[in-house]
Amino acid sequence: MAATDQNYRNQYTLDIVFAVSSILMLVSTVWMFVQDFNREFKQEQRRFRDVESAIAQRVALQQIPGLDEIEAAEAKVKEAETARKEKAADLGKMQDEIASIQPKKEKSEKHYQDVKSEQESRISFYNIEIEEHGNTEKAKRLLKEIEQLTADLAKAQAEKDAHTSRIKELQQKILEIDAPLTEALASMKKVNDKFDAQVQLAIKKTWGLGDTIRSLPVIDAFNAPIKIQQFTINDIPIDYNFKQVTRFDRCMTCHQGIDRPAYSKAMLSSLTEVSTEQKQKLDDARAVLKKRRDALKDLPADRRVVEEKGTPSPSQLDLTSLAKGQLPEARINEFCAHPRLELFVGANSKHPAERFGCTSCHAGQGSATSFTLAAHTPTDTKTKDRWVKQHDWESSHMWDFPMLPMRFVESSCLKCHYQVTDLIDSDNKNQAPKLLRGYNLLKEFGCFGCHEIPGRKGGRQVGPDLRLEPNPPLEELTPTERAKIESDPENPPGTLRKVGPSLYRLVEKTNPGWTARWLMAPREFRPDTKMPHFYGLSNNDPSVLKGEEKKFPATEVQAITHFLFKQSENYVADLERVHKESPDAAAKDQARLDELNKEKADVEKSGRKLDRPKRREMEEIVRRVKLRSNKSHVPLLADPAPSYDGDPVKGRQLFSERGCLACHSHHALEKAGGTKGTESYAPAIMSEAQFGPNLSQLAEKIGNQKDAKAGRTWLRQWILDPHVHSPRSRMPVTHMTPSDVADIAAWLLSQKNPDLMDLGKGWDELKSAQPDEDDLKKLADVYLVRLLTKQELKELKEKGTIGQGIKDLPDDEQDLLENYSAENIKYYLGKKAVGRQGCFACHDIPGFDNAKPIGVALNEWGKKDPDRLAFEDIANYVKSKFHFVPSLVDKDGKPVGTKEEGGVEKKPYEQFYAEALFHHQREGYLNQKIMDPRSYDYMRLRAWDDLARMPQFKFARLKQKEGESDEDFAARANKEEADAREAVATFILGLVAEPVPLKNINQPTGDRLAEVKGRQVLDKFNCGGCHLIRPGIFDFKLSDDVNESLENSLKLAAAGMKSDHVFLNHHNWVGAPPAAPDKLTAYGIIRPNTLAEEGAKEWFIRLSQALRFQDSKKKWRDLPSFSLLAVNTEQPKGIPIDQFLYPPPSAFASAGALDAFLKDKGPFGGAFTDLLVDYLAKKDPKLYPTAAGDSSNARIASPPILIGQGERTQPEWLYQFLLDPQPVRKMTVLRMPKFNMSKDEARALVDYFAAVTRITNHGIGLTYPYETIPQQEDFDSPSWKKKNSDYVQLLKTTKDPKGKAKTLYELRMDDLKPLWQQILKEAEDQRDRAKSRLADATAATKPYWEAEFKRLEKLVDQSSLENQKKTWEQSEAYVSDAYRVVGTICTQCHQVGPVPLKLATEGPPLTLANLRLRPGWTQKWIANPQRFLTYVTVMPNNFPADDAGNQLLFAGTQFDRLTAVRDVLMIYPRVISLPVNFYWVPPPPEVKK
Amino acid sequence: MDHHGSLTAGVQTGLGVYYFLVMLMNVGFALYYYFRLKSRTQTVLWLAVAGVFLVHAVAFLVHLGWPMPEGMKQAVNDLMNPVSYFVLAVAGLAVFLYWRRFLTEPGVAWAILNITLLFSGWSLTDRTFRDVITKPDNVPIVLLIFSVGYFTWLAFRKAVINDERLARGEPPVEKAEDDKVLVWPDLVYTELIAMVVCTFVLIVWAVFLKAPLEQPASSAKAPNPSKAPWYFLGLQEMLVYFDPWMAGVVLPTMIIVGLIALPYIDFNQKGNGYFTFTQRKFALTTFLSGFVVLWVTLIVLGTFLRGPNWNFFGPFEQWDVHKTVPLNNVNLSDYFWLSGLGQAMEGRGWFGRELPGILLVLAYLLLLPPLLAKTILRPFFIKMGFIRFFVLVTLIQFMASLPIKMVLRWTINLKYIVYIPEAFFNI
Repeated sequence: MAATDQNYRNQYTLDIVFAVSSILMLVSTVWMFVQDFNREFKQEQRRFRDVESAIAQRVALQQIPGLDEIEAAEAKVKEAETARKEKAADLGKMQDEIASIQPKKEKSEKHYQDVKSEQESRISFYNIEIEEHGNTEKAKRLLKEIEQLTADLAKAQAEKDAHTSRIKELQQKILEIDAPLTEALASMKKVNDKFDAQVQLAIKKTWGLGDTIRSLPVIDAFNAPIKIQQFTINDIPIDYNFKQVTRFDRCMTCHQGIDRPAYSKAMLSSLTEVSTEQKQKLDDARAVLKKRRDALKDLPADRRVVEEKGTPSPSQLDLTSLAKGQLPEARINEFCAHPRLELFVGANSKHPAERFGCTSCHAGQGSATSFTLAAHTPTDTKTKDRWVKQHDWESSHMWDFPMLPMRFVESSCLKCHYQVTDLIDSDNKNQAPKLLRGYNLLKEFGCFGCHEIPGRKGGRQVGPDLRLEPNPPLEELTPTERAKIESDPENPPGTLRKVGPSLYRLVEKTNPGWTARWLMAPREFRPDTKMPHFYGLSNNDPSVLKGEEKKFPATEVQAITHFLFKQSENYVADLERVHKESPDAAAKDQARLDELNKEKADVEKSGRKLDRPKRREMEEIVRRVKLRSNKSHVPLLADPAPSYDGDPVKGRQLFSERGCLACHSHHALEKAGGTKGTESYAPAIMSEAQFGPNLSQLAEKIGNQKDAKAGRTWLRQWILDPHVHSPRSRMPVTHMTPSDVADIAAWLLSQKNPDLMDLGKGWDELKSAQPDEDDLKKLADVYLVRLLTKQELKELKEKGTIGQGIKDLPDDEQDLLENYSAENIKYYLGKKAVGRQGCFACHDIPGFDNAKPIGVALNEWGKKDPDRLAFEDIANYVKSKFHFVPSLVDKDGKPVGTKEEGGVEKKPYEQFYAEALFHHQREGYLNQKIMDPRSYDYMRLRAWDDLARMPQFKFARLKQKEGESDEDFAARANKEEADAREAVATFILGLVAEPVPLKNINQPTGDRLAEVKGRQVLDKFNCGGCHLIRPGIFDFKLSDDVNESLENSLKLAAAGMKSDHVFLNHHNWVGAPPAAPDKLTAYGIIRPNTLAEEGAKEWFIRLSQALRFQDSKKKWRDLPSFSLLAVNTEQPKGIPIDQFLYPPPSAFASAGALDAFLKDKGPFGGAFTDLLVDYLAKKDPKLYPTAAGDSSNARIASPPILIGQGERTQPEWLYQFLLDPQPVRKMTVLRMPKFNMSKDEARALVDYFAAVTRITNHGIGLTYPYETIPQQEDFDSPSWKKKNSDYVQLLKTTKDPKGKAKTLYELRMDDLKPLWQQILKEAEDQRDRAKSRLADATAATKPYWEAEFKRLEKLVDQSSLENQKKTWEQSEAYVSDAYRVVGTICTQCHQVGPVPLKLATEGPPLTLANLRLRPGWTQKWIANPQRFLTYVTVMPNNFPADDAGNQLLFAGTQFDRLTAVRDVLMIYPRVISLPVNFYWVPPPPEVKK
Repeated sequence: MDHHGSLTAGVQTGLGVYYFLVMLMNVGFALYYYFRLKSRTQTVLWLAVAGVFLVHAVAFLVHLGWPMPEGMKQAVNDLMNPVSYFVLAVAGLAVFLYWRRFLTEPGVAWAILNITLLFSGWSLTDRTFRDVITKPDNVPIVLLIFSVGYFTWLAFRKAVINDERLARGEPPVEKAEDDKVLVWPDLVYTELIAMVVCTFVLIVWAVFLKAPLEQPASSAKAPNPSKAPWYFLGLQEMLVYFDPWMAGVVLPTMIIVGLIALPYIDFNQKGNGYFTFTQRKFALTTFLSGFVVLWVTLIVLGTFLRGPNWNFFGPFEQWDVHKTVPLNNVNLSDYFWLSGLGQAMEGRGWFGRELPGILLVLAYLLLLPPLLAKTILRPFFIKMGFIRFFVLVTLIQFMASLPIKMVLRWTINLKYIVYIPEAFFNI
């Protein structure tokens, strides 16, 4: 059919369709633009712009300069103006003249140029002519013209120069007249500079027409003021699995105020209103601007234009406020600055955003510009609900690294801070308390025993290193073995010890009955034990087990007990055998071993294994060889005081005083013991320490043994030297005598139930119900069923053996099936259970010396894919056991308790974690895993040995408070446990093993490294249990109130400062200037003000370092150490609590709250010292009198403060002391114990103390590890000679202050003459005696007496009065006088000779000083001991600066004297042996009251 | 706290709007009957249907929260498995072809559409179903179901009309009408409109469903389920039954080769330029079973019913990673030697062991074509000649190999007919 012109479709319809679809497309296009215009970040930025201008306005108002300054500046301008006006006529004239000369000048310049070019042209013509034609006529004519022109040029130049110089002259004059005004204007500008700049900024930030147009829809595609902001971080790329991709963080796109200090939350929330004060300020500011404009009005017009340009006009400055709805809390959070800009984000901080970005710490999708896609993660359900409502939030499953909820934000620190302790600043401020708590808990509870955390990946460090030390430990290896282990860069040796005691000698310690019960439920015996529960948990409690499995737990526990005791018995028997064996036993063993080794090699060549009996024999011999090599430190158990029963009364006192409580606690010490006023009195001393176990129920644990005395013997031995029993125990040797030990043991064993707490029945029984053989066999089947066929199993049951089939089985099973007896099954099951549950992770167990950890490695757990976690049916478990709460505390901050639901008591469970669990997030998994590790087995069908194995820990080891109900305690414990768990989770989530570039990793070096590493050793041995090691840190704002308080403190301290010598470079006298302009930092310890009324929240801070501040007159002042700062008191005026920045004001709510805050973040150490001081003062108020809430005598009887220890002692001495402490202080009631620490650890501690001093007190220039002591050079060294000659000179020129008749030199001569005579006489006597002996001498003795006689004759010659005087004058005057000072003053309290003084306040013997003390410190200490202590010292200031002092003893100033004392102390043994000193008799000590 | 929370307020409102729109469609359909076709009964019928939807719309708009009855879900889940799914697809095609005349009636088609929509609406109350259906990735597949259904129906509707005309000796509609149209304005104008509408649709789609990006790929972690792009899901389904070399290489190659060869194989001159079924029964049936059954329905199966670990999940069954299905499949050699002859497999060598399977495959490929040429396909053989016939039969054999293997798997748990792991050669 032919085509027609007819249209196929109706054109009209098509038109309609086209129109409609076009409109739809238009609408959709517009819609697209609307969508783009309303992208989340654009809306936020539009909201931000008002905030920005409002803040700029407010900041500008804060910058208004002082009215006085302005007025002064303006007055100056006015003055200059008037002065200038007076000379206006002159100025006018001069300007007129300039104006008149200017045309002339220009004209003459023109003329000069013309002539010059004419001349230059002629010269060129001339040159050409000469060159080409020679000296022609033309050349001559030209020459003439040139001469003419040169003359003209000179004239023209003269004219021009005349004009120019006249103008210059005039201008100079004008400038001179103008100078004052210019200066005045410049200074006015300077006064206003900041203000002007801020006002200009405020004006600039106010949205103008241009901005509005540029940010219109569609147009905003081109250079809009609203745009995406981003950081490009190449250094810390994102791991996209296949490629490391540059990190683009666009967070700043919405968080616009993040790096601007002015954008504080307070500032932002104040933007919604304009206070009258601000209005006033605005008026002031406008007035200021107006006044300035006015001040400029009279300026000459040209000047005014210039000046006015820089002066904002008053009408431009405005103060706008934002609508309330525009700035809700959420938006304030969005716009505000990052907390602590000096540490984070700020360009000058340690973590500038340009280098670290945002997501490298916070995680999340940095490239996203919308709330949900950025993977924001709420920190609790309340926040989540709000986000869902406001932002349609949902958790982003499409991003592997969602943002860390705030509660885990410290996790990220681990990415770069591998030492963890480097998160504690040099000033002892804990920057990541939660993370550090987690770290410490992990170490405390020994998580690393089962879970490897090597912190290494691909040969480099990627995280903290928490690994067990090698077994045997490094110290026990030969140097070659040690070097080999240490040289492995991939796997350097670990440093952590197992956290539980060694079980090698368990049999000597306790009984199987107790052990079995303990294994079943350790916390039932000791509620605060570290040992976790392995039984009675959600997957193995008999109530959830079925059928025959119900009996498995009890059977297994008995089997473990049996196994442990069997192993221990074997070990002890071996030990005894080795101790008693014949001398040739070792050789025999060696021969047999060689034989077996040879056989083994032969057998293995043919691909077979050595027979089992022979293998077992080899193992046994190797064990014996090992025991022999260690024999010296593994003695047999023996009672150190077998015939002494011990005195429990004395024992209690010893236990209280000898430092046991620094690590242990004991229930019985809650109440005082004995009778007050008698010897037996022992005040209550309640320790909270949990470093070692709570010793409350020792009697039940070790007191019940078959041999009644066995437990006692064990305990005595343990207290005497714990390393006999547990070689790697961190418990030190406390230097106690056998009778002390017997006393303590007697007391500990006398504390029995039910005096302490109700343990329930059965703990004191020796035996417990044993499983019958059938149960054992059933449990053994669990393992055997995997190795044997059904047939074999049946045969085994019937016949007790399976014959030849045994041979193919593993060794353990062979052993078992060879003798299928109940005893053997028990042993087998015990071994299996120990291996399965990883008991060896915490305990040394014979046979498991080198067993591998059983847990999952945690090195990268923090980014473990949740899909790889088996959540199983956890949701139903949690739902059936818990009720969900938004927070574990209610509105009033009270912990939430249990709730009954459907007839079941349900514990509270934080909804945050519940949701994390239900959404299969790793936080949820982790929390539940730690809380109830076995719960993932809920309703699962699993074989007994396939059940989850992780035991249930309890991290928060609380005690019930007095008057606290059981429910309240349970709720509180639940909450505390949740906090502790979260801390652990924070640490584990931080283990991501992401290789951050080395330059971004915090790699402390030098002193800082020594500090960081030393801290780990301090923690390891609980040094802080006794000693106060670091002061607390207190930050407060600088305000008038604070200043007033500080000036008050200064007034109070003034009296003490009068007699003080000031050491300008020492931080005890002169503080460091404030680190920030608006904040002061004090170091010291805080104590409740005992003078304040009961319950009043008032404190004193005792400074341990000087505090430097500017007083109200802007003068720098120093509050030296030991000064007191009052906190919150009226009289004397204290620092108001709201002025504190650290601790935050909220921490001061109550004494308890402050203690809780300071627990991890305040002063480091000293808890036991405080307890002991209190105890001693109560025990013997006469000996330890209390004044101002503290007892100085008790303080010196306690472990010393170690603040500034680095500058005090010589490093070498400290090192030796740490390894083997010798008694130093006479007045202490206890001695520094000897710790089981390696040389490296001792060195680390020495370095720590030195490093801390070098960092905190760098002015004194401390050196380590060596220090040269100039005083210890010979007397004929130049320095000594000079000291001596200067001193003799001084003696000769100084008159006796009393009589004034003689010089001191003459007095000395008078004093010394009899002494010298005595020396001479003694020498002569000796010589005579030698002479007579020589006469009687036989041939054999004659040479000796001849030599002796010659020597003495020489001595007599030397001891002639002239010679003695000469020697004295040449080298002894200084030291002998100084020695007299020491002998007169110091020996009052310090022992010199062998006889102790027996004073309550006796100081350390002076003969130690030269080895022990550093000279720099000694001098300062003598100058004013008080500056080094935080309590009132008993050592007086013997050389007060405001006193003339003992001139007669030693000439010179007080400072000379104390220096001289320091000098002789440094060479004390040498000084004391000089005849002139040796024969001098010191005055008798004054008996102090 | 309910993780599987099904009927949120938003969902209910959405469903309300959905039912309301379907109700409007039915009202429109009723009005069409009333005004155009003047059929009172039809009008009343469709108004009644509209009423049903209106009730639903109201119920959901006021948030009564009618869930789909659990029993119904359970029944559907229980009924659904790969076997029933495939059998239903084949049966559906057969029914459609057999009763095409009835089924292409607009009223009937409309009724089917209504039932589908109603069932979809009910199903959408189920969280799992909704999650799967509304995943941005899967939305095109939902459109695919409806568009394939519509166009198939449309073609058959026209074919049925033409077939009737042809039976009466009249020319097909296309021939009767003058189908020549002008380039301008007819073609160009229509294309312009199509472009505009397309742009509109794409913008709206882009605004509503953002690009469905997933997390960064990882060599350590494969997504579970790992799914091919939707257009390859049919191929992926074949992987369940064949080795990768077969399902991923041989069969796709055969598909491409087959499509290229189509014009040369097709000897039927009829049906050019007009819709017909009766004149091209063989071609259409073959095509529909290959395209709709073996390709499209397998895509639908792969998209909506295959979950983690490539397990089959009913439409309302929670996709649980831990679902484990026993896979006790057995090779033909096992059947032959172990079960059949009771002889050991060990020590037989691959050739001896797999000989039965090899023979079977060779027989299928080499003996079957001549057999067919002799018997039922004799007319074809005569018309097509040797080469064309054998190419056709080979292609069909390969196409048929999939359902054959499927049936063997379902019925006798057959894993491989030929199993030579030594050479990575399994059929």
